[in-house]
Amino acid sequence: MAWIVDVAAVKTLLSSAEGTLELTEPAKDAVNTAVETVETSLAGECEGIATALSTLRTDVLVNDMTDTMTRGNNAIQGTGESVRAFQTMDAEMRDRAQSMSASVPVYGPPAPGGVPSSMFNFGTRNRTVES
Amino acid sequence: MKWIPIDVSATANMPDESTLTTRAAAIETKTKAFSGHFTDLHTAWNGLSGLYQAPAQQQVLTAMNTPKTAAEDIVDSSTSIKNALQDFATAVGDIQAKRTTLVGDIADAKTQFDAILDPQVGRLIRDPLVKRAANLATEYTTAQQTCVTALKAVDRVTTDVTSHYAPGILDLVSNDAERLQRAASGQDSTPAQIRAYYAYLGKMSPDEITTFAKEYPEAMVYGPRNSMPAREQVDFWTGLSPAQQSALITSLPIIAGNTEGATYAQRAESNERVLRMMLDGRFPTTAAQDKAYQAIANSLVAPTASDPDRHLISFDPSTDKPLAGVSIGNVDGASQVTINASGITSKTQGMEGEVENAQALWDAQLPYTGGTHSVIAWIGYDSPGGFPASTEVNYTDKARVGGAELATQLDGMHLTRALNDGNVPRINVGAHSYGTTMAAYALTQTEFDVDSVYFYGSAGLDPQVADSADDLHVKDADNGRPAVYATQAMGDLVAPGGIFSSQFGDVARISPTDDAFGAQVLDAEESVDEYGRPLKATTGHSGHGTYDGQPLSVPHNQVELAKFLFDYAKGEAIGAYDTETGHGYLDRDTTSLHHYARVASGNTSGLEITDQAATDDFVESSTERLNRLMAAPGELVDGGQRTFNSATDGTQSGLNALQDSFVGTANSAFDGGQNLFSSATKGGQSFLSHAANGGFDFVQDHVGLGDNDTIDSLQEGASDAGNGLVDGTRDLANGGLDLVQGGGNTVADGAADLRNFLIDDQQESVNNNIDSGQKLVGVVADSTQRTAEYGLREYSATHRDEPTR
Repeated sequence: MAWIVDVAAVKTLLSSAEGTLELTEPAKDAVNTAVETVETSLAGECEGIATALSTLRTDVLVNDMTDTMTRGNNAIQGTGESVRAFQTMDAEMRDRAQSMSASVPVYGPPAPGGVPSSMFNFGTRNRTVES
Repeated sequence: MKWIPIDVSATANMPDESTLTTRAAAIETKTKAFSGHFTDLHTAWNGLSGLYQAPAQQQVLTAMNTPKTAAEDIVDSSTSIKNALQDFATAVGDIQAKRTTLVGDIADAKTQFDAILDPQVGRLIRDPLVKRAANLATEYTTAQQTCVTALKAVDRVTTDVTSHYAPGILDLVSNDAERLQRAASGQDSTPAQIRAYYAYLGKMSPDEITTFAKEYPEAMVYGPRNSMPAREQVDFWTGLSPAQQSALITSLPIIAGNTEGATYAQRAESNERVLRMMLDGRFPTTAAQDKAYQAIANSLVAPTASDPDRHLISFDPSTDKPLAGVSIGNVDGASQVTINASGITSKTQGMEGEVENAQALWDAQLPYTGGTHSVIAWIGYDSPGGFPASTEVNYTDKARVGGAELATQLDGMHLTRALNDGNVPRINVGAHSYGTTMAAYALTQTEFDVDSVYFYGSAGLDPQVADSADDLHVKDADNGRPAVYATQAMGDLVAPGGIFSSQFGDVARISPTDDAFGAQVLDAEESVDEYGRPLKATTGHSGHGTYDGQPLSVPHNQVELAKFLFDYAKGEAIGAYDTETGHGYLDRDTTSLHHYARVASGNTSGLEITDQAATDDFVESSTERLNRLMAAPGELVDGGQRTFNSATDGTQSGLNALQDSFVGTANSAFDGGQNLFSSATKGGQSFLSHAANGGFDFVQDHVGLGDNDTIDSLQEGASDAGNGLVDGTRDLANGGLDLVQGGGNTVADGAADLRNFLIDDQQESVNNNIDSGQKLVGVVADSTQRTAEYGLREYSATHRDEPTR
């Protein structure tokens, strides 16, 4: 399969995804607080329920939410890292190609009308290289 | 009739149904909001399909599936929680309605009651109301239990996962660290959990450490309660960058304060930061903790400006019995360091006294060291409570836990000093009471030998790990014997009492002042020092005597000692816990303290060494008495058995003689009869034969004149007559003989039957007596043994401290 990566669009998407993931932190805190509120209201009178809720909150819910966030973050950060690697490689290829083209004097000066565009066509991917 | 109120208080303070229902719903709503973000994330993520084409595209495009599914599963969990709570709320609403009705009915009944005279009628009205109130209470309890069961059924929907990438906008490092900290700091944490926490801390950047402390402040003051081996701790600390070390000292001081490898100055700085935080009210604490923190803080203040500084070199503020080690002087540069481990009932609520004892030792050592030494007051383990409230001193579990920790700190001191200045000091251990039990465990685990140990007022050592001074990891003294010293004051009866009572615990401990152990035993009575100055005797068990009342009467014989031990076991040994003012083991100008100072300083030349303390004689003899007491019921049983066996044998022997006598009599009678009749027969026969022959001769003489036929006829007739007489006589004799024989046999059989009857009867009677006797003695034996042994074991087992570590 060919590599076709719209780097700019992917980056935009990842940035947006990070923003969404960021919302999960306060959302997790809100769940935590909601359970804590019930715990507090039942403490003393219904101690057994309050204790069970506390255990459930710290050992189950918070851990589950944190793990879910970690997995989401791993996906975003991992993909971002891949795209950055791709981008670096792409830039390297561009630089190398330009360097190679600059070191071939046998062609002489460019003909009128400029260098044929096919000389710099490395494939069909959409490429947006940021400096 | 007078109305007796009906108790409906069990359902008086139930939660409000409506509020609980709303709050339960909020849990689900908030969780859905959390999950909704992952739904959004998943949707947005699908947009990658048009932007990202690569060989591993599928994995990338589905990467957000798992978080989305997990988030939905978490919503299911929250729904279960909501349902459990709302079911409970509904039940509460139902119970509340019934209660309202019941309260109304009770009010009505009360109104009617005044007019009722017949108690029977009164009961008919009141009893159903009482039952309804009880039923409501039961319903309420059941509803709570049902809710708890439903909540406990909610389980994890994910498994722990590590953050592989930079957390970006999330604080996942803190989350991971918090989770690891919780696991490592639990009471039942495993070595693997503790290692995992340290390993994670080692990978955190200084900023991450700082952030973690802000996010989760508990991590600043609560760390792992159990230690990793000293070498691992040193490796951890030395593997950190200076910036990481600095971050730990500032942000996670509980870690820096208690990690081997850190300098003692770093540890003190960190622990004193923790102490300040515990005192400033930012963390919830108990009254017992507050008292301990304040006592520790007070103990850190040197009495005068000329006294050496004091430092908190180890600290664990958790539980109601915080642990601490306070050094007198600078451990980092000391030429000699002595760790003085506290004994039974010691706790940091009394830290000032422990540090004062350490100061007394420091002062006593001064002439021998010139002030280059340090002494550490160490309450670094959960020491047991005392009789009669607690029997934990009979057991070794607290000593084992504490011993492992002390071993880590001893090895840590060796490694840390070797690492930081390459100059390992002379390291000594002093231990008091149950602290000796604990220290013996430590000194069989250390990697490095210490230079000396001084046991005073020992509660006994576990012979399974150290039945000889040679078993302890202690270097030899100048005299070529292990530098294991022990003392036991004559006036200290608690220590031998502790050794004595340990046989009702898990291990019967031995005394380090017993000659069989092989320690170098020192006196603790009145003496003079090497300059002729008088030294005082120790007259009790305490390190520091404060008792100004009637001195305890020291037992001088076995009876007095037995009484003391019995009283001690009941917690009624009046004065046993009290030591006269100025006469504790570590009180100034005592023989004991003087010896301790010389041992710790390595200045033992000329000390008068003995092999066994006098109190060990008491312990040995009392143990022997106990053994005799235990054996007495068994011996009583054996004695009874022997008596009854002898009685049985005697009876049997008598009856056998009786039988023999009967049989002999019968046989004699038979023989006599037989002889009589035999003689009669023979006489008769002889007579008749003579008569016949006489008649024959007569006839022959007279008939010889007649014809032969007549003579033959007469001879034949005479012969027949004679033979008839002989036969008749013989028959008569035989008949008599048979008669006599039958009578004799009857007499013999009767005698045998009588004998057998008598023997059986006697045997049964004797057996019954033996059985009864055995039962009686068995009951007495069981009762005695139960009282003497099982009773004490049971008491011992049921009066143990609640474990805190």
